[in-house]
Amino acid sequence: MLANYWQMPLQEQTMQQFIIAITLITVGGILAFITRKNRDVSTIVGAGSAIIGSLIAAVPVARVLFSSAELPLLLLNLPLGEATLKLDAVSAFFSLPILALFPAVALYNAACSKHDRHTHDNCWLLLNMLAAAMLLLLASANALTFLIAWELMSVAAFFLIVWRDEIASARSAAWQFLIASHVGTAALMLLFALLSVQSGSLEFARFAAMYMPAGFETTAFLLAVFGFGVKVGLLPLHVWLPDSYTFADAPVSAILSGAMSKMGFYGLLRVLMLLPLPRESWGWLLVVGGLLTGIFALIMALAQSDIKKVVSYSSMENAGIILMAIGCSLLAMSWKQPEIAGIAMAGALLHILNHAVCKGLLFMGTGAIYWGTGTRRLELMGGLAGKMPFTAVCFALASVAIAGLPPFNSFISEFIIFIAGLKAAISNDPQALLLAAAMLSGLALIGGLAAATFARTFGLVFLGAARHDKKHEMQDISPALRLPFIFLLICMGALIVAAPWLLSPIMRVSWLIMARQTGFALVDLSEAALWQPVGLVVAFSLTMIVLVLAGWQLRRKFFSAGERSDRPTWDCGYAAPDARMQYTSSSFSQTIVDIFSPVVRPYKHGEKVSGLFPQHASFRTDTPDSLLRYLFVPLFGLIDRILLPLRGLQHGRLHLYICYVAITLLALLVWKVVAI
Amino acid sequence: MNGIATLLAISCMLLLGSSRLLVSIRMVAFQGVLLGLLPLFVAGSGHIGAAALILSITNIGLKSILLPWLLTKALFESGARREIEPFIGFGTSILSGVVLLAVSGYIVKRLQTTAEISSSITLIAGFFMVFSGLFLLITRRKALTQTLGFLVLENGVFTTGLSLGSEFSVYVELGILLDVFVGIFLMGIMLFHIDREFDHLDVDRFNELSDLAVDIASNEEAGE
Repeated sequence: MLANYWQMPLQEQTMQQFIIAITLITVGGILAFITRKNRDVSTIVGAGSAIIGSLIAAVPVARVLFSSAELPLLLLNLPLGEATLKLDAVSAFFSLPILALFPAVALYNAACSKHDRHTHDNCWLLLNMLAAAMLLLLASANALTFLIAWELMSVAAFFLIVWRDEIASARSAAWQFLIASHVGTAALMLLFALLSVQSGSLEFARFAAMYMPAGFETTAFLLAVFGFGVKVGLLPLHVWLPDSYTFADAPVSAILSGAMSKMGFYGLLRVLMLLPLPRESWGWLLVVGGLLTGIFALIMALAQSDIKKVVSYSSMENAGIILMAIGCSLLAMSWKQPEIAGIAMAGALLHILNHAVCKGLLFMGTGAIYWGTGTRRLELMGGLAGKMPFTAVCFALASVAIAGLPPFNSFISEFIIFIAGLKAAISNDPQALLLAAAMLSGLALIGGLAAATFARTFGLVFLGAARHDKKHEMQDISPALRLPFIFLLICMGALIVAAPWLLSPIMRVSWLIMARQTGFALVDLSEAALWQPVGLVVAFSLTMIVLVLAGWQLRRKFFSAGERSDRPTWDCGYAAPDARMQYTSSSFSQTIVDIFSPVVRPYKHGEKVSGLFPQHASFRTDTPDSLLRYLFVPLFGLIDRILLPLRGLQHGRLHLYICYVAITLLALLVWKVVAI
Repeated sequence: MNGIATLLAISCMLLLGSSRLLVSIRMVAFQGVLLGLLPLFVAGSGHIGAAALILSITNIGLKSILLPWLLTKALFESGARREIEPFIGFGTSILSGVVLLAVSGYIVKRLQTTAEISSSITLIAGFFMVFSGLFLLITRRKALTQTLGFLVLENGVFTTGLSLGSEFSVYVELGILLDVFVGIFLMGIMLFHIDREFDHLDVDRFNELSDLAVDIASNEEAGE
């Protein structure tokens, strides 16, 4: 294959390049595993292959996305037949989050393994396998390779989550993930089996061309929503998500949340591309499901006291926004409104990109905080801004961005989704008005709750007085560890500045998603309608950033360090201020959590304070996921009880096992003989 | 040939009914001799091929000399002499043996094979040996008897293979023999070690070490 590489036409060369990148990443992981005895070599091999592989893969992706090159199919000879690999614009778009996060995570891991000799014991094999599986998943245009890559991805993720297997809750989180992802995969297998039986082939191209009987497409759509919904964290299927992201290592959660959960959206969109024109009910399902997911996730996030759980629930919230936008686009497709469909889809796609970058930054930030404080509990943090200024700035920027507040990138994508809602609002169709009302009010509520969540998180971690005792030994992360943060900050900046130029390729991707079913032309999608508002927002954002920076410089210049002094908070009001007088993680969000307490149902431990001079009292809230508590634990308990009698068959007595075998064989033999 | 098959079936019946382990081992050794003679008869009275001769010699050497010797050694070292309290008593075992013999006769009568059946009585004996081997495996407590059951099962497979057509391959049979030899050899070594660790050879008490037994027990306690 390599021998005549340079003689190939450019298009084929580019497609081969993508495969070479996947191979390089895999081989690098394996080599890093083989050389694991020598930690430095292993780190260099693992991280090097990750970064170089991502760079190599970036070339074909950029060519497909920006110069709209049509890459040829690549036939793969498998033992069971041929499988097609294809990199179209949709796959290329979805490989962007991987290509941005994977090098950052590799850098982070490499920098960490220098400090921390014990904890980051060699996960290169699994990390590279995860990334390679995701890239393969994106390239596969065949149900079999798709499912294989999907399984590889899930298994690698499972082992990465269970990396800290000495912690019992990490093990249980990983089991939850494994069970959830296999239930999802079962639905996907059923889906692809149905499609391939109907079309007589495993190729995606044949699925799209086949005739579908009535009711078939809705079944297929529901299976796809279930199967891929598990990965993205759609409302009742999300229960694995917060725990898994919490107990994985910070860089692992960054790539799981930033890249792996995006594969769920990719799969959903890919299946939608294969099905005929979407029904209205499909769109409503996604809109309502997305809204509920977003609101529920934020309410749960507000009640959590573990910093990584807060960030994990926020991943789920963003998944809700994206699902809602996709649902809006489906509705508009079924109403034959190309403009709204295009704008909503473009908003969803851009939000996927923005969320990946911000969430990578946030999760790596939680890793840095854990590195500094040694805890994930919000009650034990506070006042970190002075000790870890770099982490504080990164976390603050990422928090503002992920809450969808103005000068940053997520605001742009949420703004585009808002525009889709507004466009729906000005049409005369009552259903469209309903959609607009749901979307606009839902997005506003989600935005407000997200701002509250991240104000709480940032305030509790970085502001106020320190609540912990380890005041002396804390320091900011090392310069090497700052590299991935800076890289992702640059990505974030690029996503703000380049947003108007990104619109055209993203519009083309969204057109590709809906072109076959709807017959819309690219011009119908009216990308031009977005130029002006997005340009305005970007200009506004840049002005705001410049103004803030200028103000900061002015402050530094005019108020030199000699004239101000650091004092404890409330120094003038209290005789002996104490760190315990601050808002805690429960009290900060108490009012909001109380409003939603029928949904959240926090456990409250502690006694009432009574009398004039109470001696001591303690209070603590604890909020496990309410759907896990009230839906899945009873459900699985019921299944367990029903299946319990069958456990009698599994008694460990050798005689009876042989007896089972003998009886089965004898029965089969006699049955066969009698049947003749 | 039919005579040998009958002897094989009778020896199986004896195995089912005997409680002394030493007698059982001798009976299996006797079966080994009979099995060694069997290829010579199948090959035809006129000419005895070299292949049949090799098969015969290895069979007798392995199944009637080496393995019985090994098992006898394990027996003396473990100190167990008798099979006590099998799950199904000896009288019932013999009755079940009769039923199994009838079932094998019925199966052979209804069986349609592609291969040519050289002797239906040998085939019945083969099936019967497979069944009684399985029966021994299931119903006996001592690990040694279980080893014998496994050996009988394999003897049955050998007999069945011989009676199902003349084009049997010596290499396949020799391969199976090697397999059995390694299996029994390992079992012999393991019996010795098990005896040292557990102070007994009762198979139904081997699961003392398994997680599952404890698991179920604790679950039952929790349930109560």
